[in-house]
Amino acid sequence: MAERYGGKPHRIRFCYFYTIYNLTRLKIPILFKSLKNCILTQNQHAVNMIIQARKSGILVLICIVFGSLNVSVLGQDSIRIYRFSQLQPRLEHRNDTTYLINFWASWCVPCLKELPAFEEVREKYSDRKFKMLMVSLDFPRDIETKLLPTIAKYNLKAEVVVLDDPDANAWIDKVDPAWSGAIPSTLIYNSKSRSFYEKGFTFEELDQIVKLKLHEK
Amino acid sequence: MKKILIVFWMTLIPLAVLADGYQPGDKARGFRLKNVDGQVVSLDDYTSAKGFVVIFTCNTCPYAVAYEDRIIDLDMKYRPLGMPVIAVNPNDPSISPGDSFDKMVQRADEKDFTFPYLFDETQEVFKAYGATHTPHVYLLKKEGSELIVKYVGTIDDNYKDASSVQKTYLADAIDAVLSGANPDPSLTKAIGCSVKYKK
Repeated sequence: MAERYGGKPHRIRFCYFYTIYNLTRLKIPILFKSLKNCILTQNQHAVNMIIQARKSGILVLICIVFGSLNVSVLGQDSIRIYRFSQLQPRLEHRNDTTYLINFWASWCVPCLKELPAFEEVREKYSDRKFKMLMVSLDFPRDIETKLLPTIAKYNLKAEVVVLDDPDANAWIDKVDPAWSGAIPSTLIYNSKSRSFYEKGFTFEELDQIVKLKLHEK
Repeated sequence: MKKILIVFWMTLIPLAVLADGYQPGDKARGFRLKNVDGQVVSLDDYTSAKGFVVIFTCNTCPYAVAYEDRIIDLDMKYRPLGMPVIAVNPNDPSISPGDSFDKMVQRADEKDFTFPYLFDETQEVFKAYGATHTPHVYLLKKEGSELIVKYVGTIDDNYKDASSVQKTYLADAIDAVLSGANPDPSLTKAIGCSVKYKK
């Protein structure tokens, strides 16, 4: 840019760069003020530059908007893959929040059957100190082909992570000693108590349990 | 409050089913079930066997499918040593249509199973054993006329990759039983697909 506009008077160059500077920082009111200043210099070239800058600015804005959309889509693509040691701290929070951890997989038919109930409960208690984490036991190679389409199909908004730790014997008891390893199963805990269920839920059943846990505090 | 209590008791029911299952050291019942070849197979037919590797498995569970080749290898290795694999499908096909008898026949044919693949049509056997998921293994040793449970649990420590297995829990347990020792560990756990049955 400096090369291209090197031959222009200092002031025009300044207002051009200032406009670009404001564009990059997205200071829209200052942008228009600098635009006005440039028009006041009555330099047609500067005005053209500003119009150009605004056009490219709009492009930049569009790029930023789509970029952030992409980030949220990519955010889903890059589902976190945990070893059990990485998941474990999330099963042991000690604070005023109630946590629900559901173990499931896209290949587990009874798990899919209860997903709408979980989504409904998450939505119902979204304004309470209640967090839901869906731990998928899908094979990592199936994330793109099976897990993501399932998340989209059921419109899951809860956080989903994949637990990829094949020596399950080493960690099943750490989730709960009563767990045989069958899914679906659900852990719900807060600083007061901990409950584990190796079963599928209807909305009513899950709602009652969550309500009860939230009342414990 | 009543409702809450009802829900509370309902959640305990599956745990009660679990607690009834066989543990290492328990006496196991035998069974007679229909095989994929149409014949009825009874554990009593195996007069020269020293025991059985009873594996509750099915067609539809990815974990069970991931273990099929390893189950064939186990049968090839241990059947000649008197410890044949007996596979049992515990699932109710009205809930899991891919586990119907016809589909079992098809799968056994595709994979060329070397072991009987039996259909627990009345679902009495899996309930007596306490199998909760597929695959779920019960290693039985013949002691006189009795079948004693020696090991319950998983096949090894890597469901997704046979070449990355570090601990061959089941093979080690069979080796221990064949040498007259008790397996250690005698109880392991694994992720699996819940057994499909009407509650």
